[in-house]
Amino acid sequence: MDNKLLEIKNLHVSIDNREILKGIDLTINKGEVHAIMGRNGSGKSTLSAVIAGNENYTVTQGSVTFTSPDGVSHDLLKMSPEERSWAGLFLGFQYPIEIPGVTNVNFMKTAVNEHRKQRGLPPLSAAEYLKMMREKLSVVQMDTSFAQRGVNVGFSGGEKKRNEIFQMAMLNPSLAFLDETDSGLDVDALRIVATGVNKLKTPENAFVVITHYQRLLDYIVPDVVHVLYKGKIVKTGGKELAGEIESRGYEEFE
Amino acid sequence: MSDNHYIIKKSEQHPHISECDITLDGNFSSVLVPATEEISLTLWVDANQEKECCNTKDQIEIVVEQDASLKMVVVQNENEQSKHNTLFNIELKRNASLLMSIFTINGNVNNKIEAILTEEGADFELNSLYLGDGERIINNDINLLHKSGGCKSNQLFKGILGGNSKSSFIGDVVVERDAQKTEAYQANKNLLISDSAKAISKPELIIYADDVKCSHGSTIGTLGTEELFYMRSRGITLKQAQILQQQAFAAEVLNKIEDMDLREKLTVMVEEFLEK
Ligand SMILES: Nc1ncnc2c1ncn2[C@@H]1O[C@H](COP(=O)(O)OP(=O)(O)OP(=O)(O)O)[C@@H](O)[C@H]1O
Ligand SMILES: [Mg+2]
Repeated sequence: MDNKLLEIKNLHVSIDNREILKGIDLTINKGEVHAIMGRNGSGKSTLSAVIAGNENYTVTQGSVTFTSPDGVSHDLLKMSPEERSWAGLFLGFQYPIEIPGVTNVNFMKTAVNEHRKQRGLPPLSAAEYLKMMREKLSVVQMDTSFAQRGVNVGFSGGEKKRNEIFQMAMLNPSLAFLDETDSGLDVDALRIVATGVNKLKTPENAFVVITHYQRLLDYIVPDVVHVLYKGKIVKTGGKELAGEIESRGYEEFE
Repeated sequence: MSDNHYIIKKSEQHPHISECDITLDGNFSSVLVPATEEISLTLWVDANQEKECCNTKDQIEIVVEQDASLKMVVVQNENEQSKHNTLFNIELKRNASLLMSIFTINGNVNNKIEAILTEEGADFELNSLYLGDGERIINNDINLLHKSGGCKSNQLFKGILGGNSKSSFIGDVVVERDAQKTEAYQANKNLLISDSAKAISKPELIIYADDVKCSHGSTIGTLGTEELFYMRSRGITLKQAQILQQQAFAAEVLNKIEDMDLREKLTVMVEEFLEK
């Protein structure tokens, strides 16, 4: 049986005619956790943004194939961001966006119901939504007062990151890229976020965690660790690679 | 043509004065709020909603007497060919307050607002939301005079403009030499949702007094692409994401309506416009 969720082949990406990703190959299977590490500016966020469908970036070469839970293979680069989300992809943003005036509850309700519509399901009633929201908020130990606030508006750095995990829990994706979800978290929040991720992990889904620190990987244990250096994956190894990088840095790749 | 004079008093029949709805029909109207009364009313400008085309001129005079308060919502909702010119002549006396909200939903509209705060302690808040589409033209021309000291004025005009629509906001606030301790604020914010929509914005403060708090500002922007991408990455369609952003933009003005039924009704009208 084919377990492939995502297959990236020879991906080249530019912005303003400057090449940032220079030939990425990466395959992610169901049930796996991958970690991507790499220096500031090496292209980690660029990779996740391109996978999520950010139109600011230009793909100049390569292909990305994504298999949704119904077994259908998609040419991901031809899909809009919303279609990618419906197919089961999620991106936890390194810098979550603030949307003044749009409440968290309205935002997530619209998203959840759009996902349901795509699957031919009726919208959730207010009571059903509330129940689901309470349950998922508790995954990241957020209280319901967040629901009525503008999306990420005035949230602390840590609250924004928890809100990303909350949204992931609501949408139940089969593949999630978490871009530095651990940055800016205190130890307790880090544990909460990691526990949240572990709760959502199943043999059917997969996670790509982008991080600078071994710390997160003590909680979310990766099957594979990749090192991204100047737009290329220069090394792939087991979880011990994270520890090596933390102690030795990236100098060996110069 | 006949004249309409409304001297609006709280009465046995109208304890909640929002019942006193007035429909403008091209006649001269005057609304007088006698001293110490507290009135809310809604002015519906929609007589020509169904007709093919129409060109209407209205003049409405509003006087809020000492210690009286008027809360007034004006809803302009005619057809895309109609042209409606309205001159508002407003006077606020000692400690009078006026909270006025103008919603321009449909039609070509010229609003000219001449307001004078004649005596001390007057408080004038003027909010507007105007929605443009097709070939429509919406003009707001405001002339506000702070004649006496210790008065406050606050204007917020917000426009959502699509299609080939055009809007202009020309707002002069004059603070006379004797009008010390004046507070005057004025803001005009436009959201252009098509490439060919246009907005002109000229807020202006002319201040002769020296002890005042005043500010003005204007913005002309488009929908935030970062916000749109964030919403779409959660599975919200582009169209729906645009609507959510526009609703958020409009809410600031809608939320100033105190009558919850009316607020709900207008929110639905705005949503219908955005979903078109
Ligand atoms: N919108 C943009 N405009 C111009 N340059 C960009 C843009 N986005 C990314 N870049 C550039 O691409 C390179 C890779 O950036 P990216 O954000 O992917 O790095 P990163 O690996 O996520 O770094 P960090 O660890 O600091 O988050 C950087 O040099 C960055 O300046
Ligand atoms: Mg980054």
